[in-house]
Amino acid sequence: MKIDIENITMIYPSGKKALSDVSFHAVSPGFIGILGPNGAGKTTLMKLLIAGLIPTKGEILLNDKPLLPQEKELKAQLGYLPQSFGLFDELKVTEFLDYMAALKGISGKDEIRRVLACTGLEEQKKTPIRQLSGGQRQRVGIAQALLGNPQLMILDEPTVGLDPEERVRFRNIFSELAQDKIVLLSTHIIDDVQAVCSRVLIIDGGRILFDGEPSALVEKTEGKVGVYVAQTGDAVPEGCHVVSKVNVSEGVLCRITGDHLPDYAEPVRPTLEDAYLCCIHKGART
Amino acid sequence: MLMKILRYELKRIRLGRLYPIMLLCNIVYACIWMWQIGLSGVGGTAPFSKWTYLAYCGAMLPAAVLSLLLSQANYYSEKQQKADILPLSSPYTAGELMLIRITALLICFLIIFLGEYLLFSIPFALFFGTAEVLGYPLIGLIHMLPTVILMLALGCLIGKIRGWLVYVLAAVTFITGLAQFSVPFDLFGNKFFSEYPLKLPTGSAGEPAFEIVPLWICSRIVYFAVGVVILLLSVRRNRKPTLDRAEN
Amino acid sequence: MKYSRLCFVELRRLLRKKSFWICVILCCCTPLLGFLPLTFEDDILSNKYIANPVIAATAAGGIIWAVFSLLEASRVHRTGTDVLTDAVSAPALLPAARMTAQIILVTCTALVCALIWMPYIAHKMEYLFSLKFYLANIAVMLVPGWWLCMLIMESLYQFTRKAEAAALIFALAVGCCFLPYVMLNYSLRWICPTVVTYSDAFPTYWPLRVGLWARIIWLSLGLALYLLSLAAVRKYQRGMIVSFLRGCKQVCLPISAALLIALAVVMGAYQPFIDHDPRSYLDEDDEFFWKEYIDQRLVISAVNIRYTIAPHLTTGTVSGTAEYDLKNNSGYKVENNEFSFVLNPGYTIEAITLDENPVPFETLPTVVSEQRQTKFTLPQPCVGHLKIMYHGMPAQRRSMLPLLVMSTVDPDYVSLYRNSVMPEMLNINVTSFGADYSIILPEDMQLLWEYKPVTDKEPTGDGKNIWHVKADSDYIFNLQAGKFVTRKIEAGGVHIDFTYGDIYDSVVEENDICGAVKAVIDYCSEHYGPLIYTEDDTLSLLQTSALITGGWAFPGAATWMENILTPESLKDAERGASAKEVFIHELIHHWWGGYGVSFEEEEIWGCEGMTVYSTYRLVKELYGEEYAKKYYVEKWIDEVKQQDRNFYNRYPAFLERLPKAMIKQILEDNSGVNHYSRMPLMLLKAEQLLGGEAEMDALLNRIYKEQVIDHLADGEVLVDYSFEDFLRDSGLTEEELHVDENFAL
Repeated sequence: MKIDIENITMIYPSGKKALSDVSFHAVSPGFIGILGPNGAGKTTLMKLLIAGLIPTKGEILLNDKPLLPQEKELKAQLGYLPQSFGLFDELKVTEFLDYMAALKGISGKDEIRRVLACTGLEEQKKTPIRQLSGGQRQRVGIAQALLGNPQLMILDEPTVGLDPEERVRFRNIFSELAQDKIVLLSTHIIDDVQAVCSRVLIIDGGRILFDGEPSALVEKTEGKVGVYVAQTGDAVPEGCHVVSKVNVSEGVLCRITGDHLPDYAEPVRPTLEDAYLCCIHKGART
Repeated sequence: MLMKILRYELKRIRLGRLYPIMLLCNIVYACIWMWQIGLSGVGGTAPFSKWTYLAYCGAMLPAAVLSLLLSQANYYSEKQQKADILPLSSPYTAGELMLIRITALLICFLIIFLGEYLLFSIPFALFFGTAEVLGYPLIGLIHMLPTVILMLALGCLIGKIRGWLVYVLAAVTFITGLAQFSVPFDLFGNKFFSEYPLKLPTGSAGEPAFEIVPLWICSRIVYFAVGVVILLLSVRRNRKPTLDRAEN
Repeated sequence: MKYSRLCFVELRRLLRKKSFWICVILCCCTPLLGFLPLTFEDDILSNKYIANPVIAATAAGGIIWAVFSLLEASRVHRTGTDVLTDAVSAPALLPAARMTAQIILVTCTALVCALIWMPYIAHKMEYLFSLKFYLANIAVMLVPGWWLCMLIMESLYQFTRKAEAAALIFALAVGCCFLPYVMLNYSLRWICPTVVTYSDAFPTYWPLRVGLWARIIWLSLGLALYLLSLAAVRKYQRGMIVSFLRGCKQVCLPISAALLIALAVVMGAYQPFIDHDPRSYLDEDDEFFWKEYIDQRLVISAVNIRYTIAPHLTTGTVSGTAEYDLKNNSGYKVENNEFSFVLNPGYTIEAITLDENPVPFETLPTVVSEQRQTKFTLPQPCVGHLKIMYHGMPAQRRSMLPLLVMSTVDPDYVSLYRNSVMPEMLNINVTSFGADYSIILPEDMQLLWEYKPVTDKEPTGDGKNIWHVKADSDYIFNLQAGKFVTRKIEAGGVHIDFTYGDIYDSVVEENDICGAVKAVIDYCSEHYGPLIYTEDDTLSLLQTSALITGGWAFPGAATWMENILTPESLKDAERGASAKEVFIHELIHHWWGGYGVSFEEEEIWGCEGMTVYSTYRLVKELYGEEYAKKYYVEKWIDEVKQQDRNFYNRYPAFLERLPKAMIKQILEDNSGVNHYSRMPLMLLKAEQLLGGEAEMDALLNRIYKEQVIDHLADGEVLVDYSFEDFLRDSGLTEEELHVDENFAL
């Protein structure tokens, strides 16, 4: 599968410009992490990809053909988990998955058993959805996205509400799936991207600020991250942003990013989080 | 696959509790009508005459439509809209899903219709020993179905504008059901069948022959056609990707 | 946060809501519904301009506020803010504060609505408008109705936690108010008590008293339901039952609810306005009450019977004393010294004494036909001075509502009927000796005894008069007191006392009503014969309150409804069988009926049919042939046609398979049509066959003369005039007089 997004601009009827001249390409296999602050345009991008929106300008191609006429074919191969979704509370877990399987044209109970096992919902399979906890509901959402072994998976904050152990398990599952699919994962959890994504996309203000490997992003930030001990009331060095503050016996250990670090700041090896923040701040400046 | 989806939609309506309660209300209302009016016969005709049966259908129709509209309104609630995000990411378009749901509602209507028909026919078969009523369901369906389709189609159309407007349509249905209009505006037929037989000459048995004016047939056809057109328009509009309402 | 502060916060929040102001505007428009042609068009201005709009506003406004209340109650759950608000205050506190704020605002809205409409209503009602009465309607009908709707809707939501379910149950509860049984039963119609009617000429607070009582009952129940629903507010994410059981640990809630429910039950059981006879008027023919006393030999007789009756106008009650001198002139020994009398069930027997010594008595609980029996035991030989003291509010006969409210005591009007005046002895002979009545009334009131003005009065010196009436029998049908005007009319050789409420004096003058009365009497006297049943050649025509539907005829008296003298009815020429024509009908009963020719009541024969025919003839003279044909003949033909077409009349075998109550209803409907439509049509056909109106009048004249005048002249008892007699006198056959839908003039 191949997805090409060419110079997409998306302006909502309210006048809000969600995406501005965005282009990127994805080919299976691939596991792309999408990072960005709230309101950056991540969800809009995902909705464009599932033919939920018509772009104001630009074109989206699926396997070198326009997406919209192939909507049905796309959705037949799509596993989608939005950030905010509801479930049919009156149905049981198996019934809901059976319903979703029917919508996707999947017959047979085997597939449902597989996704239930995958998501650890075997014990809850006969439980009405209204009785599930938040994390269990999230797992039902993931389960329905896994139905039919889709070629394109778009997951928007899939690990919200999951405990750390589950989070790790699911990101590994997604990573396994990405071996022969395109998986787009939008998240705020940098660790997930760092652990499993082969490519990261940083979006802010409707523009792509970075598109490449996580290691490349980290490399770019070399020399731009430092630490120093500040006293209470000290101002943040000009041109820098504080990443973290930890109270130590000498004062407050501050970790900062900036194009030009002050002399008293000791450069340290940047993490992906540092690199991300640096990228966002730079993007905000430009 | 389609049958499975339809089955689940019916199950959702059943589990939603609103429909079973409305079905019960329809049955109770039918009992009250039969006791107070039906047993006496309308327009001087026999209580088991076609006139009475169709007047009965006309009286029951607003209640049936009200039940269906309230169930339909649920599809446009915020909760349901949110729950529809996942099904809408399937190969089925919103319009196709809506058609399946309309079909489910029509099946629910048929259940109400059947219950009311049994309520009408069984007492008469038992107490009056008449089997005439066996042939009535068809004419009853011809009377009721076009109106049901029209009102559900209107519900689809205005539900897309604002979900709560379907409740307004339900309230309008309730008020219109109490009114007495003349053909062809007698949407529910609750005036025509009780008053028209009084204008007809009686035969040797003292019973006016059952006949229906062409204008009434035309009105049924028009309601049906308009309903289908509105429904198709609603479906057709939904096939194009539009702005997500949740986003708005 | 404290409850009072929370109420204030909610008050401010609601005042800022757009939806609240939309509801206010809509509610202020709801009285318009009472003016629409859909609602009952009434000649009584108090009905048209106060009752109808208030009832419409109560129902429609109540629904609006109920929907508003539901949206407000569900708002926190719809928006998900309940998790935040429950962390700040107790889950039940916020709904209670919100409801308090809503009640305050809704009350203010009701007052504003009343003030907005008041100038218009006062202008329309002119001199009939009473601010006190108007505000009483707002306070009793409107405001509590709106409260109740909000309380019930929010309670349903708190219990179900589903807006649709709450709305549905509420809609069902409202729908039930419009079932025929509930509409007639004042206590069951929770959304707005049934107002039977108001009266312009004789202002009555009876519907408001009844309404207030019903309101207190339903508000108690509504409040109890609401308190219980507060206990059921969901806590700890548990369901309704567990939350409710936990909530009941705040004992004030269930205890208060229980007390309120107890109050409602007690008030319902002991309501004083309507008797508790459970049977309908359809059952009353089936048995004769007190039949055990019919064949009893009456050993003890009562002489020197004196009744003193004092209505208390402010409280609506009556105090009475009945005194009898008991004697045994029968020659028989008293074997059973237990005696009984019946009295209006609203009265309490305060004491019974014989020669000033208390006598044991027992009032039985069963009420039959507006009578409750009291038994008392006298010491042998059961002679002496018997005194019975009683007091209470006269109760109406439930089976006759809403048509008749016969006994009522109001600040400006009193009407007491039969056993609301004095006790009726069951096994003491009282009928042969007459009785003296003393009635104490304010000095500006005129007493009418059996519909005739009384003149014998003496002042008490404290602003009251004692009216004295010496009656030939102890049985009285009715006494009335109010501000009346009596005009003397001479017609048909009879002196007529035309009595009506003083408020309509100018209307009588302007519309020459006396002339119209004279025309009726003259017409009937000329066509049929002179009036016989007058007293001292005097006929009393009395206007009655609108609470007493229809008209009545008695020896020397006839009543007519208040409706015919209103400016609304008099200006409306396009009417059929209007109140005026009912008046004419009742007058004509003095020729055809128990006080003229006595008719044998058969299937298609009776006094009503002859009276209806005669009314038609007179109306034809007064308003023209077209009018009479449209509102009488065509109506008769239509009703006969419907009757002939009725399935069960065509196939009586099927009728037998119906339930008993339905059979009775159909037969009664048939009887009504036969007497009020088929028979007049038969008489009209007879008129045609006889050769015209002149010939028919000659026949009727002859019948009246032979059946009444000649019989009385010969000192003979009147016999019933049958259909066979009519066929004989007219020379027609039953087949010739057969009528059906094909009848044509």
